[in-house]
Amino acid sequence: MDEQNPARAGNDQPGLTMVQPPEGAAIGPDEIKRIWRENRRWVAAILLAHKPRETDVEDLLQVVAMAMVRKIGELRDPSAVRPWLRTVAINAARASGREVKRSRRQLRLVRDRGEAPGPDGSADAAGTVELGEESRRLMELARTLPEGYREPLLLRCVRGMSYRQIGAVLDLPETTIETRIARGRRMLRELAEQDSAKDRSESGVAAGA
Amino acid sequence: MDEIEQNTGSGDRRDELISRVIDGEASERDWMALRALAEADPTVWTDLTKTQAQHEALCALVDEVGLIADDVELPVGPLLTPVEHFERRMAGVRTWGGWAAAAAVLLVWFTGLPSPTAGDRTQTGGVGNIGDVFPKTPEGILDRYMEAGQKSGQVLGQMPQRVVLETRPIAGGDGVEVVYLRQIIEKQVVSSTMSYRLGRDEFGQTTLVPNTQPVRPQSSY
Repeated sequence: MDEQNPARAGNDQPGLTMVQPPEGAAIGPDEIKRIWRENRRWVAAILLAHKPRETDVEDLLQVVAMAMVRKIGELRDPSAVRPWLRTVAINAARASGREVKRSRRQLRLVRDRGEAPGPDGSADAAGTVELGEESRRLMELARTLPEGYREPLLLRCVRGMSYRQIGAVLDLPETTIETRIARGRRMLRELAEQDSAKDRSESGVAAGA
Repeated sequence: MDEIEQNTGSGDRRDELISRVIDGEASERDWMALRALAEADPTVWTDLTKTQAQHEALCALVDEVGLIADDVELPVGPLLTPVEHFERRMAGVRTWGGWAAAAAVLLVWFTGLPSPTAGDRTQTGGVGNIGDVFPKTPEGILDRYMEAGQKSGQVLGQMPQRVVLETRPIAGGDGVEVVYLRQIIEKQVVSSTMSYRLGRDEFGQTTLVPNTQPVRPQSSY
């Protein structure tokens, strides 16, 4: 293992410190604030990996923040705060997914009655964020990857997040993280190639018609 | 790093070498291995370039989301309980004239006009003891409301399930306090001027707009 390597380094990375809450001690408001600030960036990446397209990351971050304030005191093992935060984030994203499904059903009913325009599919992948076309397309493709590959792939994009830190969040060994990131990248590359080929064939058909 | 080279097949090895280069992790040995692979199959370089570009595109997105996260702070101060939330929402509803008036009418309908001299049972206008006519407990009042509502057709019934909002142990005692939502089904005639549907505003956002279309029968259960 290369300890000099940025991707493998631990808490010494600028821009991201994985806070270890005090063992066995009650977590005070300042500590909770610190834990939140130090972890919210990767929490956002987890939300991005799991949220429905229509939901804003910011809204979900508020939900996670609220859950953290309410429930962190119930954590039996304060050192498990990262996997716990990840679960909270995934639950928030999934709950939002269920909500979106319900709304889609309602909208479909309204649309069936010919009263409203259908979804134009233009919603940003990151909600309120203005994104480049390529980022948006890749995110849509990344969403179709299995969860085990999608999460490490996006977490690796969080500034300064090492394999070790990703492993701590996902509760997996560092080597597994590296393998999954590598495979995830290959899978995404193949998906993008298939997607481009499909686009080309569709535009070819349209041009020929 | 050697553990991966030993444990995985050649396809995975190629992926991992590419991945290490992207993450700035490739050692001299990794570079040599990658060059050897590329000599046999030059598409390795194409894959490396594509994967690097894709990684950067995804990172741009994650960076944007990270900036949003930087602005999200924890809620300050004590949080509202569901009951307090409910009370706050009701305070908002009360400021809405139409419903406030309707609520006042209901209050009068079911509990009678408040006596100017509360507790003075002699001023009952000949009706007798008001306590004999109007139930005193919330359950009793609810029963009266259900009965009267069903008679008038406004109340269809009550769902058997109650939605639990909050449970908390009773301080210093045995048992649990349960805060719940009672679900009562009512019906009301809504005039066409008060009918709205989901539509889109000029910014493309979903919003409520006045409904000018004929409404078809629809059920959500």
